[in-house]
Amino acid sequence: MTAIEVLGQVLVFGVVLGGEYALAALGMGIAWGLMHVVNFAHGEWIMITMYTTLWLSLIFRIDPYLLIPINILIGLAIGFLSQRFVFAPMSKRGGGWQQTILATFGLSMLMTGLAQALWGQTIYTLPNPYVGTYLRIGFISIPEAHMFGFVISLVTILGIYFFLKKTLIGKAILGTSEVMGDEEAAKLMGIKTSNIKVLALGLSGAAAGIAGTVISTFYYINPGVGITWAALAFVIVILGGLGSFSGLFVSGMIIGVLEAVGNMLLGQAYGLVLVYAVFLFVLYVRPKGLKGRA
Amino acid sequence: MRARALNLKRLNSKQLEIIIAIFVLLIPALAFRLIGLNYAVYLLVLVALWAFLGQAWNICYGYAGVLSFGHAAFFGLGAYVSTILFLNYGLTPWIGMLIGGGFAALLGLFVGIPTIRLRGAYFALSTIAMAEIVRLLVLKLDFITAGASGLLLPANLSPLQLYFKDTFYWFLATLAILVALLIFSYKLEKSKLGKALRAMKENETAAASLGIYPLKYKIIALMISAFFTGIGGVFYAQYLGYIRPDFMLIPTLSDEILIVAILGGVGTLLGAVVGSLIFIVLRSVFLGLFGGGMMGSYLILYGALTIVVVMFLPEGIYPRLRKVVARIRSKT
Repeated sequence: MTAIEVLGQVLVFGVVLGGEYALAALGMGIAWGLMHVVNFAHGEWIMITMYTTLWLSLIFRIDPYLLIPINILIGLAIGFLSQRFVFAPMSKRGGGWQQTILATFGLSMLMTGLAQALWGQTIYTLPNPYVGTYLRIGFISIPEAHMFGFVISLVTILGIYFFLKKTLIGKAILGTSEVMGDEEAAKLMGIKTSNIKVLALGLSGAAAGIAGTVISTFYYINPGVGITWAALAFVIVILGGLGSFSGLFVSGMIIGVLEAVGNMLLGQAYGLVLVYAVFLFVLYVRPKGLKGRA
Repeated sequence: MRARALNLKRLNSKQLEIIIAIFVLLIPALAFRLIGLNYAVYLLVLVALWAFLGQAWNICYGYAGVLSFGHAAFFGLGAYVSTILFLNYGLTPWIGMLIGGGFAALLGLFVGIPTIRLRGAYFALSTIAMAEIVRLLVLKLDFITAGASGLLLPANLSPLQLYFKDTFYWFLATLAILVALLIFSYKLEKSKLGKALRAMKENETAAASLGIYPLKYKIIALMISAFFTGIGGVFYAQYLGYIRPDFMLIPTLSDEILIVAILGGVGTLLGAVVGSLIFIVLRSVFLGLFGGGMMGSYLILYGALTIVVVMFLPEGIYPRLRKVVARIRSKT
């Protein structure tokens, strides 16, 4: 392979990976950008649905992608319950953003611990038909699992975007959100904002459920993976700017390309160092992200 | 002078509380030592060290409102710097810990300058990025750090090289640094810097209008906190006799430091001591009950503790304790 071919391969792979990263960050973007819940447990929500994908597809011998509806329901339930029983009581008590962060942080530890108690430290990989198969376009080849992941990610992000913009519930969520709307005004319009917040966190959980399904096809499954995905999601959400869907997608791709290029030039694992370093740099020069409004 | 030092009535309540805290830890340690219950002494070493770390964290969150989730980076950096200096150049960790703490403070400065002006959650998140960068670099720069396999200290060190054979002496050493930090914090609370930090935490805009430049003070608080956390790391490394990234630099360690501080009560002088006592006891009971087979499930305890404290005891246990004591005193 020539240098250009290698570079092309790495860039395309980075973009595809980045699309999946954007999906992993989508739920966090909804919770944080719309409801100001900085959710440390987002990675664990993804982790839980990775396990459900693993067990269900092994037990019933079905294609992991067919489990997406079930994982959406599981994610919805986790999001509903977390908002209803943890985050909402907290903001009712007048806890500031620190208290909310600490509570989601506690939730994240609790879920990791429960997963460890239930499933141990074993590192699982999901046997699925998309591993080791490649799509070839010219000299570029992309693993099928990543290609499907990329398409699902694109569809999900567009789907949620239009759900928020076009449906009545979606408009109510946007109206209640602190970034794009005004909670007091929404209340005066007769919107029951506490229910809307529960819905929005459910939506965030559902996005985590889809992300968990996609990620489980190419990444290892372990109780500790949550932090990896939460950290990436934080970077992407901040880089993209709170409340911006296109920003989320673009920044996901930037991070994906950075990691792929960094891994190629500097060696494995340095890619992530590069990602975090660029993240700190971006915070310095442009703290509101690429398209931030917050 | 002598009469003054002995006159308890001339001490104010906070000085008195520090002295009570010393005895609350020292007397059981002595008793356990005399009846030969070494495991209990070992737990008290952890109590003192975690109280030290919790109070160091408290200096940046409790006093300055700077929320960090990445203190493991300072802890691990201090330990690595001191251990590398000791192994390669024979520098005693007694001096190495100051250099290690200094490096941790420098890391605080480097991370603080670009990020500390960020509002809300952004800074908290960038501390996680910092901790991950440090952890990955320590893993990768294996020609100095030996990567994942870690560094081993030689056996048969002497007290001059910060090593004690007897757990009780370890307890005395950790108690000594804890007391030093408590006295430092007490002086800090009364100093101009401490008052500036308090004013800034109450109302940043008002403080700024009085000429308190918030970013400068926040960075100073972060650096002080990092310095002490680095020293704590050196003590832990010396106590264990080896260091590895998978327990010196992991997020779980940052979590433990944070839980100790919020459990006891942030922004208080002795909250971390109370928090550490409860935390270490709970953790060892939990490990005793469920340990072994359920590796890592102590995170259930950590998570549940954090949620319960944040939801039901946001001010922490120590202020509650003080209120109870005050009520009893007023009745008698």
